[in-house]
Amino acid sequence: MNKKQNEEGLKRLVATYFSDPAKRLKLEKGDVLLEEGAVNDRLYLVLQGSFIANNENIEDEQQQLFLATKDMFIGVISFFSRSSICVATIVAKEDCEVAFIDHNQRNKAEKEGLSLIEQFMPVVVFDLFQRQQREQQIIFEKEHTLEKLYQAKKLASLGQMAAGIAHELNNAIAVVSRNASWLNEHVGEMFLQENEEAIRFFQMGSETGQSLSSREIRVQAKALQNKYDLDEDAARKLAEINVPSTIKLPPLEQLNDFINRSHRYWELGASFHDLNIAAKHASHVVGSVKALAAGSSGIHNGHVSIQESIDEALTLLSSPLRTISVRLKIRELPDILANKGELVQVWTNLIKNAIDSLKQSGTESPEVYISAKPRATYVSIRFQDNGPGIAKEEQGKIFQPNFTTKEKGLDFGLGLGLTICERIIGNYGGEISVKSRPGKTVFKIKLPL
Amino acid sequence: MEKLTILCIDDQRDVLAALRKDLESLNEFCRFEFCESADEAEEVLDELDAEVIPLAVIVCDHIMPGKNGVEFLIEFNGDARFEHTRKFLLTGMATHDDTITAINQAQINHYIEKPWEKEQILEVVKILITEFVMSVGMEYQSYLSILHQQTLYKYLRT
Ligand SMILES: Nc1ncnc2c1ncn2[C@@H]1O[C@H](COP(=O)(O)OP(=O)(O)OP(=O)(O)O)[C@@H](O)[C@H]1O
Ligand SMILES: [Mg+2]
Repeated sequence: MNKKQNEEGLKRLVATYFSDPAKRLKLEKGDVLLEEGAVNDRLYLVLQGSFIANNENIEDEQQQLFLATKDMFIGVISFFSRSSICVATIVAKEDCEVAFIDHNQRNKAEKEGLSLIEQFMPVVVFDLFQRQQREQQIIFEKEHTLEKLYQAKKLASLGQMAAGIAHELNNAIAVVSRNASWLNEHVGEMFLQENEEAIRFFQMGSETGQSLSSREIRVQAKALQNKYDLDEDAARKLAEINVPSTIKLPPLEQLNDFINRSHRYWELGASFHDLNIAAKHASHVVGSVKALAAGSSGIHNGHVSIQESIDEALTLLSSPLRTISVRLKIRELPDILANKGELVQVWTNLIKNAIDSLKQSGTESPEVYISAKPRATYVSIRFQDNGPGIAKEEQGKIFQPNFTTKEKGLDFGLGLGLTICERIIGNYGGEISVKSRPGKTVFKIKLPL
Repeated sequence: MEKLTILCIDDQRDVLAALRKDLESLNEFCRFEFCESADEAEEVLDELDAEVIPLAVIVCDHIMPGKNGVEFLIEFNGDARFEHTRKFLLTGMATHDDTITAINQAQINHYIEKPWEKEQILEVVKILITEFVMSVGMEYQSYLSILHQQTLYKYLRT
């Protein structure tokens, strides 16, 4: 039955059964028409206004599954079922008017032998069908908003968590790095007073750390072992220190002793060197994480250097990038007015996508190429990778939320990366576009100056 | 007494240096090889084999450019020249899946997450050395002071 047929059927029923002025009710907002659990022997038709169902389980208005407006029936289930018990409390949402029939209703069928129920059946079924559709719609919408809410929450709490961790870590790193440089200075001083040889090796260590590679050391150690007839351990130590030829080694009988002592001083210095470098590295990573977190908490705009924001993204990704070569060509650029955290987030998402693609495909000599140059009115920034690229038919979908091809495994995706990029770039009045073929995928961003 | 070799692989030089310092107390009984990549380690393996030097333990980083630690250890596991060598994975980021692959396919004997504690890593290395000495059937008495007591008893009881 289509809508039009239904309307005609309804009109006929209304004219035949619901036009008795004695069988009409006016209700004010909040009045109860039917009470859950009570007996009902009437079938109501809404003439004006709307009704909602009140049920203990239904808390807020968004959750209303039942809403009866003009030309809809109320009491269908209790009227037509034998139990006559109302399944919900129906309350007027505004001032309303209804017409009703009851079980004493005389059959006014035009055609002989058609029972009351048979006459109402088509219209009521249609009514129920519409209700069901509405319910489905509501459920669908609810799920959709829930999911969106969930994702937004997840992102926000990730940002908060990152900021929290960054803060805690920074405190720890500060202690490590401050103490390392303090010790470095004062241990040096102490040795200086005591013994000149010691301070020399200590400083060699603390200034450059271990400058030779493990392979170079192995080769050196073998040579030294033969040259001075040293034991293996002493030869390795001497090679590690990488003693400049200007330092005169003592005679053979004192050599082993000398090496062990000097190596200790050198190692002491090298430890401070490593500590300082590691602390710097760690605080840089933390800085990047913080910038990223700031992006999701809406910190105000300022002058941002594109170069710096790209560097930060690269630091953040330095671990997965270790096996990928990164080429940078960033020309002198004016700062732009933006939120640094947000920009870092955009670059991070783009670079992360390139990394994922290169790693998943096992591309040979994987490379990410980032370039930026100023134009008259905007800055153009390109992120290029030599991975397998994006299939033609997928290129139109990648900016949609939830579109992802990373469904399994450790690097699963939310499909939100590019959505976030597009949103952020859009907010700055910029554009993001993609061109891709196997071996060359380019994401191009234009940011207005 | 023949010195036992411990081979340490990590692409970061400062990590190798830290390992070297923590394992220093084994110096009297062990000699160390340090490598910055799996490729370099393979060269060293050939040298050790050529000179018939016993390789007791490999301590290997997980994430490295080129061949990663798990891949290296899986290959190494099939190397008949070193069937008794104990394998120990150091990892900066243990994800469940990787660890399972490593343990199953490479038959890794132990793994530790970075950052480690000196006592912890020393104990693990001593356990592995003991296992090596006992499974090869070397004269364990000469290494007694660096062997792990409980592990040793376990072998002696059976
Ligand atoms: N450089 C690239 N090379 C190949 N495919 C890409 C590249 N960048 C994006 N894609 C494709 O676009 C899809 C959507 O990317 P998007 O960043 O939005 O989500 P994702 O990476 O799957 O998940 P996440 O939310 O974790 O970023 C990816 O799943 C991938 O198929
Ligand atoms: Mg992504």
